[in-house]
Amino acid sequence: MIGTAIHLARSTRQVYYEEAFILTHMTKIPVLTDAIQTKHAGEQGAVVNGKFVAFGKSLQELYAKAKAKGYKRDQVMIVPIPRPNVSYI
Amino acid sequence: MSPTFSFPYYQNRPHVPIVLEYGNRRQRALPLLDSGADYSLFHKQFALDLGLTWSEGEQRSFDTAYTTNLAVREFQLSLDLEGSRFPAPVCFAEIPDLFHRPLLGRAGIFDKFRITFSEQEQLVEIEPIN
Repeated sequence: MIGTAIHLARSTRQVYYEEAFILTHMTKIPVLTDAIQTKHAGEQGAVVNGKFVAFGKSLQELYAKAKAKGYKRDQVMIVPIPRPNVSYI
Repeated sequence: MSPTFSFPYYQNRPHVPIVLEYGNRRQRALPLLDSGADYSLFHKQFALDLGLTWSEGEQRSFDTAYTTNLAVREFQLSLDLEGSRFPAPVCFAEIPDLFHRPLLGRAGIFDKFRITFSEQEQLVEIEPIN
């Protein structure tokens, strides 16, 4: 239905269908700040709704910290924190 | 018409959200979308956390841009990319750097989506192929 936005909420992610399904925004991709990257490079971040909520050097630690803050495992997206100023080949 | 999913680059690179599924365990992740990689590759921790039995994975050996004979274990998993669910091979290895550098490669994935990289806009767009 052109011009009609249908908003569906699926547990932790927001789904927007716009302009007759031409463009859809779903999982929110986080923005990594310099401060977070400097502090947590090499770890994994737990992201919920596009925001970092916990960090860990192992998945076990990551999920435990996220759980301590009230987030369920299925809500958490595991996001790598790369080292700053490193290029990949 | 299939929906198109548009994701901004993460750290100036194309990453896409994917859910790895095995049994009743799900793992949401944001690996690098790597068109130069034949297979998806995650750290061994991801496999163990999913409940996979390491010894049951098919042993394989990969060459990479900087090493040869990299030992990996391959498992057939169910993947979910923004509501599109499909089976795909996923490999795991015990390389420290892989923990913060998971890769989503071509096998079982790139043939199911029309994928557009836009360096200028720092976006990756994904459209399921019906």
